[in-house]
Amino acid sequence: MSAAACDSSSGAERGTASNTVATEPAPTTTTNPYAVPAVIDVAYVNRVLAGLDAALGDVVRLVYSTRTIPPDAVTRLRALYGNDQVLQLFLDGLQIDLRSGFRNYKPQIGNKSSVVTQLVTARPDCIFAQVHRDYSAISTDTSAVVNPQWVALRPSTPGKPPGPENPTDWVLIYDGFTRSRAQPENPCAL
Amino acid sequence: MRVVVALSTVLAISLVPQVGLAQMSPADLVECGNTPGGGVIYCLAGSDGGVATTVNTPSSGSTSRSVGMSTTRYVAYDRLTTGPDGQTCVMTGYIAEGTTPTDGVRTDLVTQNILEIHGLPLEFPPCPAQPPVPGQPAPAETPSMIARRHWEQVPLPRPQPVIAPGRAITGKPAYLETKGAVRHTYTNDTVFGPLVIVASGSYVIDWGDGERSGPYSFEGRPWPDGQITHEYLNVGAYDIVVTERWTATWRLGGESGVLRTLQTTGRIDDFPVEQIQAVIGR
Repeated sequence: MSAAACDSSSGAERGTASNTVATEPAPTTTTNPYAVPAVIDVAYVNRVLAGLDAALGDVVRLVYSTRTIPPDAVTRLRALYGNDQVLQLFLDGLQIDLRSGFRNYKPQIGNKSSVVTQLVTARPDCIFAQVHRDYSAISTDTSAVVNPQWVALRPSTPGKPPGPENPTDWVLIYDGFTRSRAQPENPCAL
Repeated sequence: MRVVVALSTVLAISLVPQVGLAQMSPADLVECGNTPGGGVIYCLAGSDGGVATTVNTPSSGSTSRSVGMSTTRYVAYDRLTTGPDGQTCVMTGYIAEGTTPTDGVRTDLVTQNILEIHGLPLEFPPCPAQPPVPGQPAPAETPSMIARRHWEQVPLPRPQPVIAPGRAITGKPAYLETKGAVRHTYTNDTVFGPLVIVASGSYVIDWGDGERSGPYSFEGRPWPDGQITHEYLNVGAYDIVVTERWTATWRLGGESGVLRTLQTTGRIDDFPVEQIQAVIGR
């Protein structure tokens, strides 16, 4: 899974053609692919994660092309993260990559992929899952990628229609791994 | 996990209190995240307590781990943002040391004067604290954020106004006793040392008859020494509102600043004002 649907941002915002991988166009059907199903299964969570990975990929490409973290990038990230601590960690990582000159980045930057390996909690108000992360569409050196990782999602603001920054109905409230590599405390149980 | 990285370039995110890289050893560092490009974010092992976080970029081809020289240090700052209620509030953000944030709280005198001239707020409340995320570093906060949060929680003295003897006479001064406090010092132990907040209050009186007076930076006292008085012209029952506006300064860990204005109120409802008419008796 290297790319996902629903990138509605402009190409100019994402960067120049030389460093941009086009994501799939938005679905033309009226069916919302991210509408919460009666039973939340692995396939649905994978679809949501692909949408979030694509949106995050857009931000990475924007930062890559501008060589800075513009306010628009932060606005987009705020639409994707429902927790400031997790957002701050992503920003820290962006700044590290920025300051390293995007070492090991591929000329055409794709999206990281997150594939569910265990669905721990699947409720309409909270999802917690173990995932396998693949950065091979972004970096030529993925030896430092930690697996497995965990993600937790909660619905984005109720009543607020999904915007171009986040086509899904979900935001990330946990994204990463613990220092002991053990499964983190389930955010859905807090 | 197999770690094939060398900390040849170490970028330090130093949260307060700052810890120099010279004090760190590889054993202090733990992986706490992947960068968007698949690199490793290293945090200080003890940073759950909000001490310090160190971040590196990985490079392949080595199995050793060694701490290099610091190239960038990130420091906490007070970031203006929009809270869940849509109002401006202050939270802790992080930025490379030596650079100026564009969304930081401006405390320079010029900005403060401009804001004051235009009647704009000089200070903002702290954003609601977010619950810690399991496995993620606890947010470190600046001394000013700690002061802000504490200021929002201190029990400020509330005026308990009284006008003896429980009524007033038209044309005669009514002496309002505020029965509060106009100065209070609060202290609290923090990770940076003792926090000291010195609060000063001033009273503004709404007499209920359309007249207002104040601010008074002293207590209202009873006849004959009291200086907060009012003469009602007409009989009636008036709702008197005493508002005390609190300003405060804070000191903590060698830093200091000003806190936003808070207010407390006290009321006298249906305060009777009567008339006395001289009668010549036989």
